[in-house]
Amino acid sequence: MSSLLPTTEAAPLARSRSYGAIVWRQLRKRPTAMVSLGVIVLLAFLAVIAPFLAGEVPIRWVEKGEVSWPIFRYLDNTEYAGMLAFLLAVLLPVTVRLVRAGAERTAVSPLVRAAFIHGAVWLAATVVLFVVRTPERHYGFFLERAPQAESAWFPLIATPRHPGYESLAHRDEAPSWRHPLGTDRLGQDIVLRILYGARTAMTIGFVAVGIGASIGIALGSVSGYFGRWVDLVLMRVAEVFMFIPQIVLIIIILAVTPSWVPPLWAVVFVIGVTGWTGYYRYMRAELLRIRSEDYITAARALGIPTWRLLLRHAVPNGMAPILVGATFGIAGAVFLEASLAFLNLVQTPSWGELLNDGRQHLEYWWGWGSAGAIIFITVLVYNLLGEAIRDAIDPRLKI
Amino acid sequence: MGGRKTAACLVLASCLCVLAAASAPAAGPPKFTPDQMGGTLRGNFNAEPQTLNPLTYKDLYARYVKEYVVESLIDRDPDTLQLVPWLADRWEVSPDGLVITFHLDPRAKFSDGTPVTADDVVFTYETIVNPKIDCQSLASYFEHCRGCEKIDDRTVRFTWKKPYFLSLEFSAIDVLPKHIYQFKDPKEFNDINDKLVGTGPFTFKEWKTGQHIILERNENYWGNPPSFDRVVYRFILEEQASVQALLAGELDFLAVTPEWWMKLKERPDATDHFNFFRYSTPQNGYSYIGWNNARPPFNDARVRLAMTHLVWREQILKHMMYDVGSVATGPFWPPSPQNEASLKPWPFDRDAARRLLREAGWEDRNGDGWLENAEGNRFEFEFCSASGDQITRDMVRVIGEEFRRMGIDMHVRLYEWSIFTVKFDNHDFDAVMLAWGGGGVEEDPYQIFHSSQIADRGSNFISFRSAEADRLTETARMTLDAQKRNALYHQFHRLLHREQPYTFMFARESLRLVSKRVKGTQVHKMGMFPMDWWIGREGAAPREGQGP
Amino acid sequence: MKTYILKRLLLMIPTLIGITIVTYFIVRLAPGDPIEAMIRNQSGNIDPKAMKESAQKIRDRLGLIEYHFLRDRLFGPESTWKEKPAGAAFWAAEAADKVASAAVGYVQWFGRLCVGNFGESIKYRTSGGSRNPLLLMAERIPVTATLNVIAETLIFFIAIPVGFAAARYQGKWFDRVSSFVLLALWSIPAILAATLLIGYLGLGGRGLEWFPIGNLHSFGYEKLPLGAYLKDLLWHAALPVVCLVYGGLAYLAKMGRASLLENLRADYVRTARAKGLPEERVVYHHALRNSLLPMITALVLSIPGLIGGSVIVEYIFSIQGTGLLLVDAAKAYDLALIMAETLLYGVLTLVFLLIGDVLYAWADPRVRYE
Repeated sequence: MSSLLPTTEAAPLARSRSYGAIVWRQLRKRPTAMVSLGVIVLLAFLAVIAPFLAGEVPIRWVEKGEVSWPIFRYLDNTEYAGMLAFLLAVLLPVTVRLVRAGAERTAVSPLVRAAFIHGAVWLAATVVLFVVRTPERHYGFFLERAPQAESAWFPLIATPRHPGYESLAHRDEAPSWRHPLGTDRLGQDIVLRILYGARTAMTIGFVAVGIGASIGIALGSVSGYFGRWVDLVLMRVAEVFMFIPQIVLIIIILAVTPSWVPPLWAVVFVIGVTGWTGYYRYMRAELLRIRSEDYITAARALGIPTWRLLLRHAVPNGMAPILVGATFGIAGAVFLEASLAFLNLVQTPSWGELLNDGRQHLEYWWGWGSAGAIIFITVLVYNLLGEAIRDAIDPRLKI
Repeated sequence: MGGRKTAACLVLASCLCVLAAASAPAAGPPKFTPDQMGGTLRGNFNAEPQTLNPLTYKDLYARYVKEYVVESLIDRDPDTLQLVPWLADRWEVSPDGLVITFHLDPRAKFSDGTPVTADDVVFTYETIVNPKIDCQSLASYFEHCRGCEKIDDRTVRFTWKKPYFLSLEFSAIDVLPKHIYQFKDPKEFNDINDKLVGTGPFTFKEWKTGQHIILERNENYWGNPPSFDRVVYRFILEEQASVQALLAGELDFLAVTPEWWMKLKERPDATDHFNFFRYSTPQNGYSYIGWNNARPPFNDARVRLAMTHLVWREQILKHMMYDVGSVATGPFWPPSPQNEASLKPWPFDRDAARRLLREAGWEDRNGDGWLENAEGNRFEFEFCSASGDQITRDMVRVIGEEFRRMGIDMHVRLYEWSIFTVKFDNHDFDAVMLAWGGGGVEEDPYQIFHSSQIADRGSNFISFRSAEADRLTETARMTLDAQKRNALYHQFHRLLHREQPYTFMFARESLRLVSKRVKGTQVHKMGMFPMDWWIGREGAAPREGQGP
Repeated sequence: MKTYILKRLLLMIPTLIGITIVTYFIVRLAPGDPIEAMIRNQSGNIDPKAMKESAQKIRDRLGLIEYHFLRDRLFGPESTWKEKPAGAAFWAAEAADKVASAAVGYVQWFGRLCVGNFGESIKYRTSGGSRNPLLLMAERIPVTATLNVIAETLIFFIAIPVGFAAARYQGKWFDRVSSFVLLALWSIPAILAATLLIGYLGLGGRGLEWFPIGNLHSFGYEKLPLGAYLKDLLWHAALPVVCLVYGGLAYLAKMGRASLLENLRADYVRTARAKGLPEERVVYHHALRNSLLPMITALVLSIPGLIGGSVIVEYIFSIQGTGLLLVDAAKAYDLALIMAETLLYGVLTLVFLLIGDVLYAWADPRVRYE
């Protein structure tokens, strides 16, 4: 007999799902989305561990009986920061679960809270790292000294990190065991270029789009929420950016950038700063819709300060189209970078540059073929993901 | 998008059709038989000229076109390198070298039939030196010229203030028709951009921007008529596209880069239909790394020599330039009598470099792998490059890698051309890689290496100062006796070799593919000249004016 | 509606002014002097005094004078300097002067614009020898327009049927496969596509040599009769058009699909079905017609992007279009040309946006603008 005795406690409240969780669940059901996400994570992982896969610094080195692990000395601070970022990003779901289990239902989604925690940890660790550690900069000549070592564990592909006189003798070599994807026109291994190019692509993708989206979200929410003259002014500003051809802006801003800024960050900055108008429009449209919703009115009545209202309540509910736009935006940024390399405006170690290099000489297909293929796969994967998110949010959404 | 960007051409040849000789051998085309006449020659320019004004033009392609239409007073034989008559059939030079008299060939006439007179020569000279006419680089060569005067209808006389070994060549200017080009307001002349008339074997027919330039045979030509009915130059900017056009039969000849040269040599569709020519002309010039001699660390000649020892020029030449060209030791064209041929380039030698750097005070004092001097400053510098052609960028990368391995921290900065020129005008750089286009068979290195040319944005932008070099160049340029002069230049060459104000890189060479349907192609000492060539009546041009 | 259009047209003016101000200032304030660079690049070794004069003359003519009010007052005129002053004050004075010069220059430019003078291009000339930016653009617009018209037409006639078919067979394999294929096409970088086409389909390449790979006309095309001329043009345009088309299909097809789906869910379609009309008639006669109009709107809205968007294609295929002109002008800081092109681009974008919005309202009576 089942117990029909009424319980004395109230039934536990059903766990309501946040908007984000609903979307995630939808996404989980689509295989293309999961595969795309997997590929992206894989690319990020490869980008992060690139020095272990291809390079000239050995992982383990034994000379005259002394064991050392040179690669860790030679890794840059930014590389460590990148590794940490990746690790923290991958562990995010774990923290989310912990937060959810620990705290009561709060106004802020557990995802955001977890993200904040991870962000703070990463920032603190990075600052400490930069202050405390200066990485090894000069050459260890490990490849040349390899015969002297008793044991040397080189990365999977042992090849110079940068092209030099010796590599010139191996230009444009077809794929072989030593160089699985062949060498480029200066003798550099192509797998190495693809791996390090992944870093450029990831950085440009995430950071540039991050900058653009942030600007767009900030301005768009203000514009949409406050309306009237604020909106009028901001809309005109956005129109200016929309109507000047992006390429012109990019060329000129690149020219203005001082020479001590590494070209990669110049490109990131430029793409971010010229590409915000789309996000601005989305956020503005969403805010126009949201500001008349009941919960906003309620929050206002409760006396919640405007900034908090925007940050905690309005903006998170308008993020849907931004997410879609950002995903497509990352794909667009990768394309844009390739175009900039093509027009000889920047010299970043990227897939776009590799594609360009090989363009004039089609018979060395391994160079431009690899670059073209990897750009294609990356962009395809982001596009598929964007499509999937869009369908998950609302298949009828006209974005 | 031009080919290799040359920083500034020593554009002697701009006014001296004589030495330019890219298209005109001594006194015009050779004699052709009737069935060698006919046909259209189709070539390509990688960049479009800005103007075809015969005096104010600034770029290489404009000069090529000009050379079909305009002629000068004397010329150089492309094989013996001797001066030969052209519009002037004889000339006299006074013993002190200050007075040069030309006698015009009575047969010489412009394409409209008007005979060439001394008035035309004087008009051209006055236009060149007119400060309001936009050809200052040309005019600067006449800085020490007192003037050009008409003696009679067929005789002109140039008078110079100081003896100068190049004054004869400078005086042999292009001759423009006064009745066509004369002007009241200099602006009129400056604004001319597609009026090109002269005495040459071709007349300028049409320039369609973005498409082509067409030249036609001058039926009134006073010398041997040229073989081609027409010469057409198209503007295909991308190298790959121009090669494909060549292979598809849309072009008859093309200049290519070493990489394409090697690849096309292995393609039967290229070797079956085209002849391959490789040669050196005085205009090829040389590339170099310019060290800022006024700033540490490159104010020390030992450091500069060490850097030269670290540039493995032979390897770069072999692998990046496919052995097209040769390692340069000095600023002179290798076959020129001014060149000291016995000097061998400094070899790639890491040990010698280390030794020299140590002598100059640079060694790794703290074991961090970088070189420091006695004050503890690290050896680091910035290498400037204008975002130009791929080969230069690749070279800089590879060279920089070697420097870094030696403990020299080199940063490469790519600048847009306009910013780049500002930087080096202000001498605000550590090192640059550039090239000088050559001029004539004999050149005057005064402008590049004399200490008076450092200030005021002169060509000695590396700030090279040497009293000995100054003395040699000053004396040599005034020495009219060729033997004595060249001996002085040999000494000067040896001095440059010791001091290494530049690290001389490569004396460049020209690479041309010419269709087998074009005959008469021969390589002279001074290069190849389309006016030698002929197609004749049977060699019909495929794909001209036809669709698919 | 009329007031709405008028209001939009009026609002265009401040936007256009804003665009021109921003562009002008960015170009003027960018470091590097295009005039001296151009002179030096082309004539090389000139007497610096002569170069200064030459440059000054050109600057006067082009309205690019650099004033030094503040710097002269604080540090004296340049000719009196023994050596170049340094320090923060000097830098600030120069910066202020530069901004002031830019402001004066802008007012000058604007004034000349009002009388129809667009200035002079530093770098370019038309085939007639003119440096007027308007004429320069006028020469190139037909080229870009031809290419883009052909491309847009093709996109429209391929993408819409595909999109509609995907909606018709929603969820079935056609829908899924077409969606994936179009997205995959979109993901191919233009440089790669162009390279492959040239290399394997182009004359002088390594595969089937079917199409020419440069320019839009064969040499000597003026002499061709009309039929042959058109044939020649299309033959040359084939590869560039393919490059422009393949990536643009995805967006329009997606929109077409969404639009038709929405209409298929609408009440009137349900009524039609309930009335017993055959499916073909329901779909093709009713829903399709209603779905088409928004597509036309979308097409109209995408036109402005094509002016600058085909740069890569124009460069690779040596086609003298406006996109290439814009990029080259930007690289060379060719102020007059950049301003003219930006203005044109701005006007066209605003006008087409307006047309698109009006079309949308006309097509859908429920949409009302205030």
